[in-house]
Amino acid sequence: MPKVTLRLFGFGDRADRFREETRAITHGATVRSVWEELRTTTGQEELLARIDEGAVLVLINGRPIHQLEDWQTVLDNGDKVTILVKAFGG
Amino acid sequence: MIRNISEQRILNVDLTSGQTWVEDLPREELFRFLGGRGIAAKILYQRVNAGIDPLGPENVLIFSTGTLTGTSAPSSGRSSVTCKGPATGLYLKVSVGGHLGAELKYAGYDHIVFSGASERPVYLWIDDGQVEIRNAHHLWGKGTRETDRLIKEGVGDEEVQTAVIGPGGENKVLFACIMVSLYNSASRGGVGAVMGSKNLKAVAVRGHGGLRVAEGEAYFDLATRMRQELAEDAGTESLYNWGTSGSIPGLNEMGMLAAYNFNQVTIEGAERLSGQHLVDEGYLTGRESCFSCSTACHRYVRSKSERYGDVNDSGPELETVMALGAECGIVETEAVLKANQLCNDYGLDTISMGHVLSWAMECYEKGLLKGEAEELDLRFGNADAQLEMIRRIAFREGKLGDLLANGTKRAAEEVGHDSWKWTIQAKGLEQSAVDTRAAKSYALAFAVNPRGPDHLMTETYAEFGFTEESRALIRKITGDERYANPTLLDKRAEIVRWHEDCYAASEALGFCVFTSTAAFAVNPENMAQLFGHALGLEFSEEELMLGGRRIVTVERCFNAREGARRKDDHLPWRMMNEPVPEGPNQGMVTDREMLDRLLDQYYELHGWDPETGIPKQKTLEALSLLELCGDVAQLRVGIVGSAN
Ligand code: SF4
Repeated sequence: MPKVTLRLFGFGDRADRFREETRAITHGATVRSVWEELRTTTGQEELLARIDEGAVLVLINGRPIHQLEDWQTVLDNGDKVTILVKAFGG
Repeated sequence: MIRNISEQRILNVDLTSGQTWVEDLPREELFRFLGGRGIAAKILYQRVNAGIDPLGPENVLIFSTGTLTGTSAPSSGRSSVTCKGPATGLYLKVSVGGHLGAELKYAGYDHIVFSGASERPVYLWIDDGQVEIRNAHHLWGKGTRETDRLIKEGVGDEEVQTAVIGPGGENKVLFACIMVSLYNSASRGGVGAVMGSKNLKAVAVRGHGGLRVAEGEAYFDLATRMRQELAEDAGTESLYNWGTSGSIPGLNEMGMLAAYNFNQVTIEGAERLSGQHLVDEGYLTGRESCFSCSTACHRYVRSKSERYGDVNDSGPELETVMALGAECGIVETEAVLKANQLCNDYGLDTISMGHVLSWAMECYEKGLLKGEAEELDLRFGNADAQLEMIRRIAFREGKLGDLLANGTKRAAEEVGHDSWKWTIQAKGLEQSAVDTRAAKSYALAFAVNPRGPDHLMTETYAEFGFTEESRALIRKITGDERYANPTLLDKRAEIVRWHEDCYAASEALGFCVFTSTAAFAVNPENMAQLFGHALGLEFSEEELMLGGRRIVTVERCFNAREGARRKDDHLPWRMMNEPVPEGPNQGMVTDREMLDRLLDQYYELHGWDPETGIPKQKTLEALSLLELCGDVAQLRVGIVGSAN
């Protein structure tokens, strides 16, 4: 089964600000399917459900998904998937 | 006194003679140059002759408020400081928040123009209509914090707003800044050194007047709607939560976190530099807004550590933690908070300071700096050495402190060998920590920036397309949202010019560019309408953007008159010659060929001569600038020397 590394920033409280886990995915899994799964299996469903998709930045191997196939981007074995709450500033 | 917003007043202060006088700004000038940054650019152009010493009495120092500063328009409390810059020898404008601008408006002035130089240290005290040049002997040598406190004590009013230099400005460090309203830094390019060269320690203002807009109800309704939209914006929410350094984790993940003098683009332990970390670990003690802004992106922090002592100060911005932290290979939170505090108190620009030190660290590790650098062991990651060097630079102490106080360009000329290639500077200004190898609009914007390569004149954040709104903006500018991709070369000129115009217009009106080009509630349409309501006239988005372009063109003409040409529009050597070493952008570079292509597109779009980069006569005509800047259209290549 293919596996991806998930790196989650900025979702939980202090103790859970950054989390990394390896997750098995099905063949053909997309960013959206992993995101949906995450929202129901992390133990933080309530928190994640409140987060608007538009406020989330997803990177695959450091590349923003809107430069790929957006939420429909198909994940490969070994991909690093970073999910952050958007932030900006200078 | 209640004044109409359209009746702008310029306070002139000749520090040589000690005379002060007020002039009224002709109303039509306000329509043409929009206010603040625009009026200052025009005054600078008229009053400063080409070739003068930026640290001599012939230079002027202009404090300008935005036209709408002091009103209820959201995030409109910004002011600017303009002069000929000592680091570059070119046009210099810095924008700053806080409350000084509004206070100056209430005291009855829109701009202060300082000329000449005082023989002894002085400060300017403005108490409504009373203007007084006061002795500042007791303030000279003091840090910015203590100076602010002593002034307030002296006049017996805690509500006084100040603009203050520290030892950095007094000692004419070429990247000295001015601290405004205690915690806001008017940084970049050595504007504090110009103030120091005039023996002007501070400006202190108290005003009790008010402002009248022409169409009060319409103005208030629109300002309120914009305020609500801003409050609902995800970008401003993140700015409130984590401040600008909330971007650190994302930048590190994308391989865009400049580290080790741009030799790396990620750093182990980056999260310790982040705004999230400041919140989580209890460093954050409060949040603060500039006048009339509800975003509150500024932080207050406190830390106690045996090694670095106590810090109770304003929090570091994103660029500060990148420059003083990652660029110097330092990720200890307490060390970076301390370095930020020292820079603020000495009155030094944290961006340039970080790059000066990271360059010195690279030189030391490569064997080009000996003596004091060896004694201090000035290697990457050595926070103790960094803190000591900040102090020495502020006071120009020792050979190394004095050398580095002149910035990396001049220091590299002394150190020699290949050290100039490691300076992250162009035109003499240290670049912000944006990786211009992997973001082509930023590359172009930085190369043509009249004050040198940084993000605070034109931040083309939208090219990343991170949000629906930014992709919509790219669609509006280019016709296709696929251009929301920073690695493309096409359409970068259009993206840069739009942002230049918008930035210039925002700053002329007093708006914070965070809210006009990153969050989108303060958009050109809204700004134009507010300007119209304030002045009682119909004013379109197109007219506003044209006003912005007029400002950008005057700034360009100023530099052309100083001898700047196309060849001066470039990036730091490393950005153009050393590809990104790692991460998703590995191998990218913005080389000479790419930059030339970008410049060709950009000059053509502007109507500037492709050989020289000087605005053409017909361009000046179309912008009604021939009368002001006609001398520039006559310039030919080679008549005046290069600025670089
Ligand atoms: S967004 Fe931040 S910097 Fe801009 S006006 Fe508001 S508080 Fe000041």
